Amino acid sequence: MPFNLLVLASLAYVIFLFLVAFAAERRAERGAVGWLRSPLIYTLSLSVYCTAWTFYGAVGYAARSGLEYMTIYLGPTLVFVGWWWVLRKLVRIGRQQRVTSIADLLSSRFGKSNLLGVIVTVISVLAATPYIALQLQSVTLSFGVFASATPDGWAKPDSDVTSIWVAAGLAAFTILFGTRNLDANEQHTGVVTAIAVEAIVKLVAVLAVGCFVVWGLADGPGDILARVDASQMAEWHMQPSRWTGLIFLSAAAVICLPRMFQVLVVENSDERHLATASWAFPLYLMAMSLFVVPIAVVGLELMPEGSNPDLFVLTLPLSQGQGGLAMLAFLGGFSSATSMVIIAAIALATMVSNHIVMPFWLRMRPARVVSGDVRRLVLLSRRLSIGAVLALGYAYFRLSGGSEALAAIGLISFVGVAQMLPAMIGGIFWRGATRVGAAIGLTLGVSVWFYALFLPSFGADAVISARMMAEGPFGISWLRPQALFGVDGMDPLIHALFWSMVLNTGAFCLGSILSFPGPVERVQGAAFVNVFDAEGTGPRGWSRGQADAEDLLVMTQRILGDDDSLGFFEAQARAQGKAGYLPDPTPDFIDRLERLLAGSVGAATAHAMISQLAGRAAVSVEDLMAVANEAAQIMEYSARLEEQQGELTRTARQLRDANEKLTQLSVQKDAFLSQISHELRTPMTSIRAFSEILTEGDLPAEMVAKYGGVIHAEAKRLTRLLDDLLDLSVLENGSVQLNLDLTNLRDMIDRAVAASSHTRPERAFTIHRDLTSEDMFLRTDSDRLTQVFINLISNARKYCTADAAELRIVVRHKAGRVTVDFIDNGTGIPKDKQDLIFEKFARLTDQTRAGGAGLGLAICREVMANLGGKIGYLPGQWGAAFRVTLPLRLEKAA
Amino acid sequence: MARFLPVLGTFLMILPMLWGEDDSDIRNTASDGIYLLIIWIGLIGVAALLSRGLRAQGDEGARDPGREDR
Amino acid sequence: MGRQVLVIEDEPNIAEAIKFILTRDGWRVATHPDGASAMAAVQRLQPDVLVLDLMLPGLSGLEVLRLIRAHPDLAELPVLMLTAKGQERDRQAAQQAGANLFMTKPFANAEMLSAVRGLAGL
Repeated sequence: MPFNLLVLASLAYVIFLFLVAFAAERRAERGAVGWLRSPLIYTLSLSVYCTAWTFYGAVGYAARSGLEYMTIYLGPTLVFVGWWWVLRKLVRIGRQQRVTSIADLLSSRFGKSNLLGVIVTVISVLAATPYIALQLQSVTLSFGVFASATPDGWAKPDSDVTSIWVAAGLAAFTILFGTRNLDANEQHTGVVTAIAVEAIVKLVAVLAVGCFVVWGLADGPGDILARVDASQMAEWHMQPSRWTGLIFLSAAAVICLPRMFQVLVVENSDERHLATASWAFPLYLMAMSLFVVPIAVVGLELMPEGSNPDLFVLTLPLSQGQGGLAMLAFLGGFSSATSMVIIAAIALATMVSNHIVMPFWLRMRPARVVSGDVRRLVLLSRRLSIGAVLALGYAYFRLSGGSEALAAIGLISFVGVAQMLPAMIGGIFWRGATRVGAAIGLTLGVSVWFYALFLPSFGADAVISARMMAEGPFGISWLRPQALFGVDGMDPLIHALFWSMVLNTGAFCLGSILSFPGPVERVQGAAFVNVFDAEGTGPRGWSRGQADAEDLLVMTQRILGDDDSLGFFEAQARAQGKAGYLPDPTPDFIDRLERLLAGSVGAATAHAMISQLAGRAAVSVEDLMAVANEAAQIMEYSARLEEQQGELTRTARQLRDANEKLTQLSVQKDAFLSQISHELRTPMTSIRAFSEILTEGDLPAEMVAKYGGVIHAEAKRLTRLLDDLLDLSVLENGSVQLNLDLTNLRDMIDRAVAASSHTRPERAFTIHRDLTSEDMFLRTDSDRLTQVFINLISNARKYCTADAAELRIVVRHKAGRVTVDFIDNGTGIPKDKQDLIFEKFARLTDQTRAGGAGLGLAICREVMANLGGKIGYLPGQWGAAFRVTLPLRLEKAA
Repeated sequence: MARFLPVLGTFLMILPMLWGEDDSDIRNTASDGIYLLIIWIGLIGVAALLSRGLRAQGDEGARDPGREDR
Repeated sequence: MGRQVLVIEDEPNIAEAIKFILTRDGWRVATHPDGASAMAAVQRLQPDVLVLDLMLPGLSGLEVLRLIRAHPDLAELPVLMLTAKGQERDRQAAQQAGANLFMTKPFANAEMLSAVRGLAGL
């Protein structure tokens, strides 16, 4: 097959994947997620577990070690078929805490400690680098196979060029779809969809090659079994330690691998997808491994001596002249390699960016959290991290020379990531687990792995000298890398797995028991362990009111962009009943915000950023009590009950209050209606009686005139009353339109004095004023204020009992408030009536009726309230005294 | 029941270790392979049956509050 | 005819109107504007019919009526209650206090006339 055609085919395939990812992303942006987030896609995306190692390497593994390759799939099968409740807990926690990676999970669980985040990130990068190199190698090798005429083509002269192109291409793809946006959910619909497509391609490819081998080259399953018995694979060594150890190892890896965590937890959009995945993913794994033995057997039989069994999937069809099938196999292998690299790069880049770059940057320039464009920085650091991860993989590939059996590298990587298992499982099931325990356990486990497995994997004398391997460092025999503590003769991998896990778990438990968790750690521990009970009522780490909502908004905008941030803030404000304003920085709100930000930059960074604005995270005593022990849960429960009861009591009291108020209002309304009725009927009675009298005729002219006058006066009284009532109702409703302008107080009083001179004009009435003190400009509704003045002056004229009636008007101005006092020299108002006079229809004496309906002062009170001031009776003066208080400048319509 | 499945599966999977002839870890590939495949398919089948229960169970609490503000 | 009516009413215009209507029909009409001294006026004038407003300054019409009914000489005095409030409650209160008739303002002149005539047994 021409090499160019191959390149063309792979390019076309990559472009196809691009389009798939692009279309999915567009669809998701439009909100039409639909099947993009279906259980099927989820299950298929989990297939990143099956890398090129599976695709190519499983056959080689089987050719070398018989059925042992199955352990790699049996482990995950066990986890998925039965322990989905562990996975479900992880997924629930991941969603509730907006976990972005496995490093984030551990850092968040153990008190948002960035130290742990860094440790886990380093482990992940360390473990993933050979693995990524492995994928590059497999793609390069498969290219080489096609390029060379011979089916067993090893590294071609152009393999370096090929691999660098592959690495660069993968980096570009990952950056394009993995860091397009800084989504708070850290989900990549496009990438996941592309991965799902690749999952189908690799499954179809393996099945196609398998069917070709079983039914094309052999005569069906029976023939294959016969060939197995006849081949060198007829018997295999089952080492019990390796068999169980590898099952455990792969079971651990399927949870702990950063890329698996990414698709399993971070990209999960619905917990229920796990239900489908619980059987569908094992089914996928079984289908992937079904034809491994047949291909290995037939390959060993047909291929020339010394062929690399790792490439049988590719070379077997090729050697049989099946170019199309070989191309399919190539694309399958290509898919396996690229999907792993893409997801791993995204996962690792998120970790590196969130746990190493961001905290470092935050420490360097803390002031820029609010002012700088964090969003761009985060994306940039992710992109650079992706590039760096792939560059590391490439470097490892170049350095190691790419000759190891594929399976070996994969297993070494597995042991590395399995070190996170104790901290993770302990973290989600054991409240007592502490940061110290996790850190020590992880460090110890990784050290053992590094020393006993990783370094020796480079080969004798590469990093560790052969002498040291044989005799231990400095001749200390119990520190021999592959025989720690004198445990000799064990399989090196199982040896390293055993010791690293034992020491890791031991140190984790011991460290946790001996150390005390910090406050944030306790809170987070409870939130993780009790994720299913304490939904939505997660403990809060923030105290009220230290952060400014606007600062928080600015910071959020810098990270999430304007639309998302505003949307979130508005939603929260609505929830607080403050629609249209910024939400109050309540602990609850800050907690939500922190989790939202954690979805973008990781828990530790988000915590640190908010700490800078909100002050130190204060964990209240109640929070600590609530998480201290199991008894606290009962307290929590009873507290909730108490709270509910309290709420019921409050509601009942509110109802009672409302009822009382309603009753009172009803009584008032009755009295008011009765009053109005009286006030309206009284003039009507006179009008009706006299008009009937007049209608009957034959009255002397002067009587007609007199009675006509009465009717006229009473009609006027009626009109005035209606006017007042209307006025009052407008004022009370607050729907009065105020005409604010600047008017001189003296002019207003002048007008009021002139207008009220019509009241009892026959009486002698003196008004004392101080014109200079009155000379000031008020910003108010001058007509309304004058109305109040008229009322007060008229009242004085009407009711002042002194023979020589006098009224003093005194104006004072102090601190933006103006008081105007109206004091007459009458008898004043008795103390017990002073409160009453401002009520409606509160006429004190009916004898001295002067045509008012008793609404005057009530109107005055309402006017003053509308003008931002008040009117009150001023006791302790000689006569009746009223004080009007109002602002010098009324700013806006009340 | 579901929690017990992996335990059963593990037991069945390491069972071949006990079959070997005395003091020998040499095993027959074909028969072991078929045995393991049967176990595998069995596990998948049981898991598929159990997952119905999981789905029903998950319905209650699946709408988690962590993302309700999106 | 010595038919004497006492009108206790604080609204001067209403008192004037009632006085005119009844006077034209041949009654002798006296008016009194106050509740507190109403009892004294009744005792002094010994009217055949009493027209009593419900809302009076000093003492309410109901209280005046109770005083009248409590007095042995006046227990049988026909009393016409007038009210401007016009609520059913007031009517009941007036009946309990011993009013013979109850009339809501505003009234028709003829109504007033026939009521007073009726009370006087004419």
